Amino acid sequence: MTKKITFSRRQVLAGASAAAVVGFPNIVRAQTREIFIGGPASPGLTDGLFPLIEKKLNVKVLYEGTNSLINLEKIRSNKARPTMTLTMMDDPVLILAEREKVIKKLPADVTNLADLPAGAKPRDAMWANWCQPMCSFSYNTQTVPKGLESYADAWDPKYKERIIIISMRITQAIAPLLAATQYVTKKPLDQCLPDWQQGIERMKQLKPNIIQVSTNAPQAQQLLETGECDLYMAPDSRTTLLRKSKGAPVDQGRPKEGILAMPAGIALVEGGPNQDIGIQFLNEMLSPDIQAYIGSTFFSKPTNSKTVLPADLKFPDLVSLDWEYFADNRNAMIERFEREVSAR
Amino acid sequence: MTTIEMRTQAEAQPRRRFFQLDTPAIMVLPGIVFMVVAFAIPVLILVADSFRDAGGFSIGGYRKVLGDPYYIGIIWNSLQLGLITTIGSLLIGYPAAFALSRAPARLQVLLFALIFLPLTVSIIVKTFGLAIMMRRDGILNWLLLNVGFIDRPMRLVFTEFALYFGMINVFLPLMILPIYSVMRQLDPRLTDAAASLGAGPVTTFRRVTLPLTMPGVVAGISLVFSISVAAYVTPGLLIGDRFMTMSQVMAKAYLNIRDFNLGASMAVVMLVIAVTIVFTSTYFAEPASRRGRKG
Repeated sequence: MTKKITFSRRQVLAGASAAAVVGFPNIVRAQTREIFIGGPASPGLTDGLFPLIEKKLNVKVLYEGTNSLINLEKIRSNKARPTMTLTMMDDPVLILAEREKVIKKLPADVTNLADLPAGAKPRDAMWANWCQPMCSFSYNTQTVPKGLESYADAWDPKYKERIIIISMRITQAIAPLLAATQYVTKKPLDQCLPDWQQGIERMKQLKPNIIQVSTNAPQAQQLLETGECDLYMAPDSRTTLLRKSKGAPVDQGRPKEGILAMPAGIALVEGGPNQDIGIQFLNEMLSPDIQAYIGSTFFSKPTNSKTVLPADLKFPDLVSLDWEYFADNRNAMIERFEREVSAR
Repeated sequence: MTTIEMRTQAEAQPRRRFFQLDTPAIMVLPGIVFMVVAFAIPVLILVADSFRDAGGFSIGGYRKVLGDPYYIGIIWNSLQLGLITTIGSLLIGYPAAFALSRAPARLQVLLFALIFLPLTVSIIVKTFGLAIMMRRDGILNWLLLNVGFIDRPMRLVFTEFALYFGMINVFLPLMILPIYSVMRQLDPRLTDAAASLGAGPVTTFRRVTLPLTMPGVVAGISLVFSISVAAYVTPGLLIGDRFMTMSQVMAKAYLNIRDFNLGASMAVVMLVIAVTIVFTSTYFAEPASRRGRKG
């Protein structure tokens, strides 16, 4: 006798649902308004800024924070099947991303671009700067109450083994190198970049004061806050002033030579999923409301000219650099820096 | 059937098959497949990458890694890191494993927990914890001050002492476990017999205990050395770029400067060093172990 196999209606429905989830994940996922963004590991993004925009646009953001070069490497690896919709990186790394054609020009749908100065939408709006964090050095306000008047003060022997320098693999490391170059060349900070080789010589004289050359920004920040070191060269204001606002004994240095503008960019990944949501998200990041929030939460200069900041929040004029030159020479800088400054 | 026919059948050789899988072979098959996919193929790709750059076949990566004093210094750093961590772990781990194997059952549970609980903590959390411990206001300085060894807090963070202390702390359980597993199988009557024949504790240890536990020692050395020579997170957090290791060069080459040839060449050099040390230690340990078994 042959046994007949029968299915109930419930079993058929359950089987079909399971097949849909297992076999056709794209169909199921397509129903959610969700984008994947890769960017810096800065505090305040996933726990402040993104929820605001998510609520406004009814989208879900999946975020991965790391440094810009690693972020770029991830996009390169997935170039055939991009998973990221948007990427948030420093300008020098976005220049590399543009050359490798992994990002695409921002479309006219990003209407807030009209209110950004030309300098904040580089290379004909291949990307936009969503803010300009200030970059100089940060100091412990308990051990160095008044900070430093000049970058050159950091070379004082009284700071022996009291300074943490960030690795040249991280863009902000350009600040101490340029300060060293400026000391040697006496040129304004914004003209020092091509002479960086001279700065390396001066950086070598800083070695007795350097306790560590770090690639781990949170650890370095923690050691500054606990007084294990006096100076940290150089996180940007996103970290330092945010921590200051939470009561940490740290402050952003305002040396007489000037403070660098770290252009924090946001771009659309070429071929990334849910581009329409990505465009809406990017446009919202550049809106005056969100820019005001960015200014007061990230302590970074907003880029939208229509942004109205609280009366007590003012930013100094910042020094802009030729990031293309930096991008072209970065490997050479890393190599010399690690051999001559980082090494024991 | 006649007796002759029966004998002929019984003596007949089994038919040879070209390919035959017995049960143990089938059981090891998933492991082999996994290792081929997860290890052998990536290693082959790595080796291939180490012999090519943008222009095609090249030994430029090896020339750089083995011909540049800067990179030779980095290889030496890694070797030094692996050796000191292994020796330190062995010196602390061997007596610990001995004590563990001889401890009463209840105490053994407690000692096991003390040794192996740290393994359940993420290496990053553990290393951050160590860095906090070694700060000027950390517990280590507090202890040294209160015991009277120092009169003011000394700098411990980002020193080579901190690095080795942290590395040994992280890898010690990996040394204890294999030694303990061999030691607990050691028949106590053997050491008793040696003692009854007039051997002192040192001679008994040298002629009986040590040779018989050599397989565990070799396994521990192989494990600790091969992992510590490739350590990335702990040196990065405890000493930073001032003590560059081969792993840091690889990370830099792949993630920052995109010099895959350099990264792959350094990786192959590291692999060769690790494999050489592991095989050499096994080669030299085997005769000692054999002597122990002979008594």
